[in-house]
Amino acid sequence: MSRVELRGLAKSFGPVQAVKDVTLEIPDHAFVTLLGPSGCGKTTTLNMLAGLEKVTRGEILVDGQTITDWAPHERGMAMVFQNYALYPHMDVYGNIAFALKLQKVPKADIDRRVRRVASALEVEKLLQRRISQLSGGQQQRVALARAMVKEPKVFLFDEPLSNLDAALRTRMRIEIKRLHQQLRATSVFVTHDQEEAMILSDYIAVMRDGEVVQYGRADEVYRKPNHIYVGTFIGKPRMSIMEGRLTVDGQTGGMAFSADGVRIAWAGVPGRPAKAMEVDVSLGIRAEDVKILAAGADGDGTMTGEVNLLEPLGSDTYVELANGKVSITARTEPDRGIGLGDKVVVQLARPKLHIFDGKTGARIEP
Amino acid sequence: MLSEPDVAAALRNSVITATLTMVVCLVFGSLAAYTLARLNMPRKNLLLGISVFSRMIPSMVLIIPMFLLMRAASLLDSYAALVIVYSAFLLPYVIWMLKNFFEQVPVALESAARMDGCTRLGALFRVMIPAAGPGVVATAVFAFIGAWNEFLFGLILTTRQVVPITVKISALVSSTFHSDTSLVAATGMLAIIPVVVLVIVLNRYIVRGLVEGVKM
Repeated sequence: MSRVELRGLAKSFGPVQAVKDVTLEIPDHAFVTLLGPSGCGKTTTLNMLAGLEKVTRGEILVDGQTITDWAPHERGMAMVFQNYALYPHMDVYGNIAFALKLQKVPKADIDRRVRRVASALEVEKLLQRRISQLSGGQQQRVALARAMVKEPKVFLFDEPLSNLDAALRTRMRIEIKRLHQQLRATSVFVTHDQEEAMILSDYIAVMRDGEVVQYGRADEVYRKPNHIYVGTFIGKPRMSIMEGRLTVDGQTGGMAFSADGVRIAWAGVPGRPAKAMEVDVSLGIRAEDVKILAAGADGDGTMTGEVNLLEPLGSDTYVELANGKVSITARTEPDRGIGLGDKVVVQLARPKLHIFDGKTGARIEP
Repeated sequence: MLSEPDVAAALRNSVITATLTMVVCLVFGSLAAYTLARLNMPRKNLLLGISVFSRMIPSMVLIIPMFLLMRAASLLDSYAALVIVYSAFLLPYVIWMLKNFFEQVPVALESAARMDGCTRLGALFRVMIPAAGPGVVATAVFAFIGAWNEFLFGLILTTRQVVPITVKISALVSSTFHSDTSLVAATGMLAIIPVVVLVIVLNRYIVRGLVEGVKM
């Protein structure tokens, strides 16, 4: 159980800068996810933390102690790999016991610890099997057991679920979450799957091009993305974005958005002044924050659109509606009786809006 | 025929030389192949190119310098001479083969070994080589057969003590008044047996190594 700090971490491969400047503070017991598309530097960051990749610049600290140049096995960390990386020439027992054997732990202790971990992960019946005789899910459990048996201070996960089929992935995800709740070990998880990140993490670091765009509590990253990139990367369905011009009246606090003949206006809140501005913005809103009103309704922050796509999920239905070039996705109950081509009125509540600068993509708070 | 002391000795010489050559090739070959397959190193391809370049020179051209070299080092008619020369000629092949087999071992496997407490060298011997097992066996057999079949250097660098079986067979042809054809043919068959047995015993690995490479 440890506090991990990354300070200005950078990594170059020749002329290519894979990681530019990553600074993160990972509190004790926390489950932190590095989230981003492939090639954003998340795995390289994890490898540097593990000691598998040399650091070009920056520092890594565990519990206040600098470990930047320590060998991987001296760091008290264990890693679960994407392809499990089980040793094919050993049986399950050999795989789990390998690290302990190298540490020259007495045989009886090894046996006890291997069996305890194996029974916790329900692989004790498989101990004598060869790796090639295991299913994907079993291999994943053995990989977890191999990490757990070392009783590490920090767990590292490098996209451990991406090779499993959808049903198994959901199950293993829950298992990892339960495991973390039991062990309470500091964990760093790398994934490109935002749903996985949201479900598992206490904190999420969203990465792009070798840099952390936003780092914060998972709900905060979801509710208050500081950049359009974060807003659109996290959340399913993707956040609706409308490009247009935003005008804020400094005195009344009233706000108006216009794009392609669409105009949406919000009244100001009395007693809460706003900063006057007129800027090009990307206006974002999540599907669950778009309210479908009765036809012909009018009010604060409403717009009319024509339904051009319905995505029924059973529990909810996603309605995509368009007005000119502006397109918005709304979530609604499945029995609303909305059909393709219907004209509907939607309301975008002002506090739920995400306003991003049209040029830089950074969040604006009017 | 085996009661003929020279033939038995020649067989023994060939077994020793080929086995030592195989071991030397595997030790140095795996170290070199690992470096070329895994480590970030400038001019990697150039080094690989140079390693095969030595194979482009016909052995005939090298025979006399090699003889002089070995004489200067007082290594004529010794196992060391044969093993050094055979290894020098086989190593490029061994390195190329092992490099390809090592490249097929997932990097994560080695990372896992290093996380578990292996050094890079430890990970090579404890994880990489066993994981690339069939490939390594195929390479070893290849090196063994290469050394076993060699004739030219065996002929020039040996005189009495370490004459290999290949040279012995040809000696049977020329050294007698009338060549005893049946003796030559029988010795020839005898010379094939160890290799055939080796291939039959390791058949499973060789085929897997050559066809599939590394199977995870």
